[in-house]
Parts: sequence; C-alpha cells; structure tokens
Amino acid sequence: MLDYSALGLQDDDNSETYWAKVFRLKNSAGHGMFLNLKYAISLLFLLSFSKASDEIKFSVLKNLKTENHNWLQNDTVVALMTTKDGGLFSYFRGLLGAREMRILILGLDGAGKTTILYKLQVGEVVTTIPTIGFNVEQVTYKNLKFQVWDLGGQTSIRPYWRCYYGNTDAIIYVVDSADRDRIGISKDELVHMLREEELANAILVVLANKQDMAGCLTVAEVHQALGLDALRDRTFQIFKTSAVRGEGLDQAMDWLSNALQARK
Amino acid sequence: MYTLLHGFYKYIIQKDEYCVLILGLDNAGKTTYLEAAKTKFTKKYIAMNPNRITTTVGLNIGKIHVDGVMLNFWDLGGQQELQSLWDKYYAECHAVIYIVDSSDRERISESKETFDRMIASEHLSGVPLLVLANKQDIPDCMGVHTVKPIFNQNAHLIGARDIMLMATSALNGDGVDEGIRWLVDCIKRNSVDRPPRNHEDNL
Repeated sequence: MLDYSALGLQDDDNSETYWAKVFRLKNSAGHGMFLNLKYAISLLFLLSFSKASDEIKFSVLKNLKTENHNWLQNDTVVALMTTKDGGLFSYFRGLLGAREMRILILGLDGAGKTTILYKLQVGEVVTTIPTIGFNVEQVTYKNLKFQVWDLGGQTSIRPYWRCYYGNTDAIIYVVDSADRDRIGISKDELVHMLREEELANAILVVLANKQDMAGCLTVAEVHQALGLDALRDRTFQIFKTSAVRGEGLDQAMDWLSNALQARK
Repeated sequence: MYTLLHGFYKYIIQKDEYCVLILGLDNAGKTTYLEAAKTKFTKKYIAMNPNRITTTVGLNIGKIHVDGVMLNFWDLGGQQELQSLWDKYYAECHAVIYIVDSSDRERISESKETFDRMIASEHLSGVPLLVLANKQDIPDCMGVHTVKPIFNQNAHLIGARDIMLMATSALNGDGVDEGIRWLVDCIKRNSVDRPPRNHEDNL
C-alpha cells in the first residue's frame, strides 16, 4: 500500500487536483507510477455515459454519486452532461418496442426535484443536497415503467438541460410555490424550454410544490405567474404538491400515466 | 422546384383549422365530453377510462377532423378560481361549447351566472355557442325542456349569434356527434368574421 502523506496527497484536495497529483507520481526509477490508470478511467467513462440502464446501476449509490459530482469542478460536470446523449441508441430501442417512458424533472434549484424523484422511487423523503449534474432512476408506477431524470437546477447548469430533451415523453416542471421572488425566473426558463422543437410532443405537468408552506401561491396564481395561458397546443396540468408530506404526487402520476397512455 | 411542389402539396392537404373552447363549471363533464368527441371522430382512438379522469387544472387539447375541417378543442378547468383564465382564450376561439351538469339542480343557477358572464365578453361576440345539457344518462336529471328556459333568459346578451341547446351524455356518447356537426356548420358560416387559424401562424 502507498503512504499517502509521503506522496503529497491530501484528503481535502478537490478531486481534480488529487488526480493530477496522482498522475505526476514517479517511482524511484523516475518512471510514471500509474501509466495505465488513464486508460482504465477513460474506458470506464465510455462504459457508463452511454445509456440510462448503466446510469441506474451506478446510481445504486444514489446520493453518494451526487456527492461525487459535487467534488468535480463546474467545467467537468458540464462536460459530463454534454456527453450524455444516447439519442441514436434510444431510437433503435424505440423501434424494438417496449420503450420506457422518458421523463425529465426540471425546475429552479431548491424547488424540490430530487426530493420528488426519490419520493416517487422509494416512497420516502430522503435528505438531499443540491444536485450538480443529474440523478436518474427507474420508477414503476401502476405497472408502467418510467425512466426519470432529475437535472440540476442551478443557474450555471440550466443551459445544459437541452442536452436531455431528445425522445422525452413528459416534463415534470417543479415550482417552489413559496418562492414568489423567483417565480418570474421560473417562468422564463419554462417558456424558453417549451420553445424547443424536440419537446413539441412532450406532455407537461406542473407541480406547484411546497404547498405546506404558509403564504404560498395558489394553483391559479402559479398558472398565471408562469404564463401558462399562452399555451395553445400542449396538454398540461397543474398539481398542488408537498413532496415532504407526499401530498399530490399520486394524483399527478396517475394523470400523467393516463395522459401518456392515451397519447400512444 | 421541390419547395414549390412541397408548398403545393401542403396547400392541397391543408385543412382549415378552428379552435373550440369547452367551458362549464367543474364536474360538468368537459374532459369526458372531449374524450367522447375524440372517440367518435378518430379511428382506433382508445378513450381514457372515465373513472380515471381527474379535475382539470390546466389544459387538455384534442384535435379531430370533421367534414373537411380540423377542430382543435381546448378543455379548460372549471373551478371558480380558474374561471378568470378563460378570457385569455376568447379572442382566438371560433366556437364555445358550454357544458351544464343537468343532474345538479343546486348549481344550475351558478352555471347560468357563469354562462352570462362568459357571453358578456366582447371577445366572444358573434361566436357560435353550443350549450349541452350533459349527464342525461343519470335518471331524474333535468331534460332539455327544463334547462332551455333557464339559459334563454338573457336574449340581449346572446344577440345575433348562433346558439343551440342539446341534450347529451358524454359518458355514453349520445348527442356528441349531432352537436359537433351543427357547430361545424356554424363555424364555416361564421368564418368570414372569424377566419380559420393558419398552420403557418402556429408558431
């Protein structure tokens, strides 16, 4: 085993600095110590970022994975997110039939997207940290299988949502009903998103989340604040939810699975 | 050359598109009616199970082809707090279907008041109105003869526009066909005042 401190590796380095140091390590003869490590890692990346089923296996680690993402610098996360595009692959899978419905959970940071994802998947409220990158899970609801992607909502990573738009069947847009200050930003992001060609056929579900908070916006207020009355060619529905109490999610999923089945 | 031919082809197959609002109080059966209409006019359409239709808070859309035109339905939520959103759609619609729950005697006057408020809007002037006394499948419901006088009271608000009151059962699909065919005739007649929505303008 290696003596970490003797090699100058510190636990509190961020992961990129850490790995840079590892690659620079030399043995006593002056040769690189881990020559093949780079190949091993690049092979690993090839494996994991090609399809959702792999991602789901990786995310057995759930929050741990998100934590690992948090150790990366922003540029790296962005690079990871842009490579994440299984477009052609999922097209062929679509031809074979039995395609899982692909659902994106989007919304501003702190709206409760990750809480909703894990509430749907394991039925429990898990403690979450801000998602940098994404979480993906397979959710089964009444014998229907959904592949649900929860994408980070922070300003810096919102532009990369569009990398995930292809083949999307439905969008769950989560709004923090108690956050009156940022509802305008939420509207802008939604309007921007719905203009995308790739999402032209996606069903929209708006979750007015955090209804347990005092003084939150009502459904009609959310409807108006998001400018949803401008929509003419898209089926959508708004639900009051409280992810932490688990209220409203069942109705929303029920409606969504109905709407998705009727659309086929 | 391709563009020219393609444009011609699109011109040939393009149908006039008209928008129809489906309004009424909550639980009147608007979404069920939309499903019934889709079932009637779309081949192989499998309707949603009526038991699984929930309260609409948002918008359901449906497109059907009838008599050489395309109808684009907008089914909106009917709850009190959502009624304020209806008028956003008035200016762009070509017809309104107003659905009344004939089995609910307690709320018939509320339904009538909501109807009056709706037709008083200047954005709806001249728009054909189809009023449907729905839920005729329920025994002991009010028939057309009871509902009609209630909605005929304000003739000055209705004015010169086409209006028709019919009995339907969205659940069984009775009366759906006749109502929509009547509406299409009115919409076509009215298309000088309200021209069809053009496909190119959809964006």
